[in-house]
Amino acid sequence: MRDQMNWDSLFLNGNPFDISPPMDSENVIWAGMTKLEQHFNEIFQQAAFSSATQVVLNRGPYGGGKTHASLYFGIEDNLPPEVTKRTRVYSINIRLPKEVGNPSHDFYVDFLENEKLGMTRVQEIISNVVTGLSEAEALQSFHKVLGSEELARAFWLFGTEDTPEKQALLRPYFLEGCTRTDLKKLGIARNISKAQDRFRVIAGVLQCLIGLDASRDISQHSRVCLWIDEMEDMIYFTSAQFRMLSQGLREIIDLLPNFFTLFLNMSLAEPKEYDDFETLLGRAVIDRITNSIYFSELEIDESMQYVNKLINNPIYRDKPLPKGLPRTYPFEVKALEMLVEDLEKRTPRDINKRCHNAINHAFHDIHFEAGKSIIDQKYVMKIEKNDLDRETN
Amino acid sequence: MKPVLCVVDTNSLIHMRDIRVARKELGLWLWREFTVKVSDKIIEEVRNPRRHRPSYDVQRKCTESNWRFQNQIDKLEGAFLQSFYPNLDGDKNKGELHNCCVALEAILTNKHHQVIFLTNELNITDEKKNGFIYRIFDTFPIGRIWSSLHFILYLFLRHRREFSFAEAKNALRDVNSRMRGEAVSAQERLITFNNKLKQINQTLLQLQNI
Repeated sequence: MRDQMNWDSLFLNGNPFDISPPMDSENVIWAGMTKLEQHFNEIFQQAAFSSATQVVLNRGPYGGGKTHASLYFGIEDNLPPEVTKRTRVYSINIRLPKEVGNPSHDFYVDFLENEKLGMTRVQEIISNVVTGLSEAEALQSFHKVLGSEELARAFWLFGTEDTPEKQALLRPYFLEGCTRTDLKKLGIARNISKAQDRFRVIAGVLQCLIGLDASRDISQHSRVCLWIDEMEDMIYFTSAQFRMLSQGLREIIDLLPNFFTLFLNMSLAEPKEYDDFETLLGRAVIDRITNSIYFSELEIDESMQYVNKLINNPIYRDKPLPKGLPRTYPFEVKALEMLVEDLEKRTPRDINKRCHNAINHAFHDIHFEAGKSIIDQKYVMKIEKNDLDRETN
Repeated sequence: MKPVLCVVDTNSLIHMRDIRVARKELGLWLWREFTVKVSDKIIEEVRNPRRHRPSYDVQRKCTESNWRFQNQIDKLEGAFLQSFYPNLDGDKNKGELHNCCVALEAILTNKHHQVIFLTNELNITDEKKNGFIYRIFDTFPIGRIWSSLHFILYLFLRHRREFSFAEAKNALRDVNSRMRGEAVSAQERLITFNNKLKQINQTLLQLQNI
């Protein structure tokens, strides 16, 4: 079926209606949803003009665009220019671990092995930050954020050690731990064994990205954004796992009082009472939230604007449409309105699903003859609701 | 007075495994609070080697609590269950189905007046999903369907001096995390039961002398 979908005949370069977030985050585009975009821009503007750490709760229904926002705003070029002119912004995106065995350990490894980090990059980051510092100065700075002399020493070694043998021992030290003999060779007294240590290491790496300068001068630091997706999966943690992770997040927030923004993406059916948020995120985290963004379902006009902006983005439509065709082509305006009007949940994902299914149906019917046919109200009425809301890949 | 009968399903016992409240294993509290009975199928299931299963003590208690049917199970299935669950062939949902027969026979034989049907199977007890266990108990007024979360609230209510509010909150989270389901539904479930726990706690604080 996919092979029969000739997007060229719709004056499109490909399928604009993705159901799952794109793998290639460089090509993520923002369509419509202007209030949300404005809200994010305000948060980044605050970040550019103040050193204070932000903790942002992004909440809303499944398919509301939270993951999409993390991918889009995770690209520095997509941030408001007045922000990037003032400060460098680094973004790291991770997902809450799915495995429930040892989530704090999995979270730690996922962070270090993240596509934007990895141990080689972590080493580079630490190495860059200690350049120009004496051993004593660096150890003092590391000790402050890591709260442990041994961890501070490990950071110093990782950033400065140039013997390949010791470097080869430091990677396992950070990821899985070393034998006693190897620890002795490194001159470090103990492994990273406690959950608290792991969260401190995460904070330490983030602090190195931010910069070790003791001042609050924006020009001397970068802003680091950590996006944690699928926070709703905390519900699958037992009380011990839940406590460990929420206290770990609090530890990171408290160790990084400046130049850090933590975005927590969490699917929720609808806005809840404060107490309910505490149940879902833990008091340790909820007390530290500075901003909250609600990804509400779209109104009909917002949905129309969303589809319009999406299909006319140059990535998907780089040539003008033939005269007489509406900008919503392959949909007639009224037909598109009909499609989005009776959606049970008017989220970007469900709008995408409907639009994709309607086009798919039309291709299957051989309904399109380039520029001469359109999905109109009459055609939409012909499509069964089940076909419109069918799950697609 | 005829004691309340608690008919227990395997998954509710599995979800309560390794959880201790008021210094005792949560699952074993069932036998302290109620007369517990289970069908043969449940005994088979709790002994079944699998990744998670109830403790040995719970398995033993289940074996001791086997319900001896006075009627032939085929006859009970045909007359009682067929209209709610047309395809009775095979093993699917057999534990719950036979437990329903235990519940009905316990009332019909006048051994018990009411039944607590303990199961954590969300789909088959859900009114919105027209679950067959829901429909059976909606038609036959023989008792109430509970999940392990209801049982935790009941224990908190009964043993408030040994069972702290914090311990009850943790037990609710532990069991809820094992009941799975969609994250948003699991969130709503935990919030609902946490709010019930708070309300019970507030009431109990005002009635400390009782």
